[in-house]
Amino acid sequence: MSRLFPDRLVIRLSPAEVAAARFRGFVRKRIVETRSVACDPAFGTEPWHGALAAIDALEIAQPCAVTVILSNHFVRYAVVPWSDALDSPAEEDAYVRHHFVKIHGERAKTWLLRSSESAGGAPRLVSAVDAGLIEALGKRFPKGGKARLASVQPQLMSKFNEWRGLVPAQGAWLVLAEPDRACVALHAGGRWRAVQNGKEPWLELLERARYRVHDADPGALPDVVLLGGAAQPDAPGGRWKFHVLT
Amino acid sequence: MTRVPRVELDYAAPVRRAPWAGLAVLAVSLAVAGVMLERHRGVRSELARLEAQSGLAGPERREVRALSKERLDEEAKSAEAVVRQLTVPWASVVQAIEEASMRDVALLQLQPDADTRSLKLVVEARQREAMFEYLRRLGAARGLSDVHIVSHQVQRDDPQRPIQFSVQASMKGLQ
Repeated sequence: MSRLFPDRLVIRLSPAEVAAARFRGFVRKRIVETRSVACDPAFGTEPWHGALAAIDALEIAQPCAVTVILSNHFVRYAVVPWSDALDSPAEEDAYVRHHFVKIHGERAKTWLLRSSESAGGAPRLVSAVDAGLIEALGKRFPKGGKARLASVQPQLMSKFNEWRGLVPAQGAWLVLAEPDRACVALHAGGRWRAVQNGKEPWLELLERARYRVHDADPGALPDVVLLGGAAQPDAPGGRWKFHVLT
Repeated sequence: MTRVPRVELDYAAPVRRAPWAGLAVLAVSLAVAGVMLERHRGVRSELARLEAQSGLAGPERREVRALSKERLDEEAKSAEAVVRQLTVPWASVVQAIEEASMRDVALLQLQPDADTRSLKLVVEARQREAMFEYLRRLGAARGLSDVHIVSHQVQRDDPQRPIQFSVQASMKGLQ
């Protein structure tokens, strides 16, 4: 392992499992080790307590830069209309927080928010995570430690950035299926149009999201679906063009 | 297929901004470097042209003519003479002359000869006794030896009738 280019350890955090893959190499990265640890979703008072406790079982011995990918169980998303009148980070944060409080109530006041940049005036994709989870990860991988926390990404960010080259000009639906959770997002016309993150089966959530978008903004919608975490349904009904990705 | 922009929702890494500022600095730097390189080339070619014109460099550089042996010997002797002249112990000579100086005697001329390590003085004394005393003092001065009168003459044009005389001494004891 190079001291100049330390290994990258990607840890996927979900309620029932913590999976880790160690990547090595600078130009051509390759997986040199994988591990997974089962955890108890019912452990603790927050859904992420069990997963965080299971990280210790990974026994990280070598120095590495850690990237944590958060399951959509631990993240809330929203597509927030944007305004160029917001001219400071504090104003942007207050505006986005107000949006989440309207949907999720007072508990959203303690969440950590991130909003992705977008072209002028276009809606932004925003995520919210429990501040306690980010703080606990920071303590688990302290600065100057053997394993350095380099990135904490919601799963939607990770997968979209990985697959965005496959999004056609007319746009695409992105579906991330997990046990007891599905996340559906629509990127079309060069902007984010919708995001749904719920416990319903992924196809049901996809159909529902389509109707909602169509009702709000009638017009042609993409039929391409980039699907991860699930197999293509046997009888999709002919409306969708699925691309199953891993 | 259009390339859609990345999504940045990272909770640990700093937000990635579009690198326009960095790219602009890079572009300006490259432009300046290009101008400087072009100017450097221009200066080099101008320098080469000037050197070629003045014959300082290049294939047209004139050859140094070989000197004859006689000319070389002459120049070597000239150089040696200069070196000898430079090695005259002026400080010691002046100190010896000052030690011998007296009130009734005036030094008119001082002429060292580096080749023979000798010293010629032209002096004027008010009386004969002063001349002899001066000779004695010169003979006693450190570093001077073989002090003797070469010529002497009474200045009859002067109403006081001073004596002008030449003295020669050896400087071989001077350092």
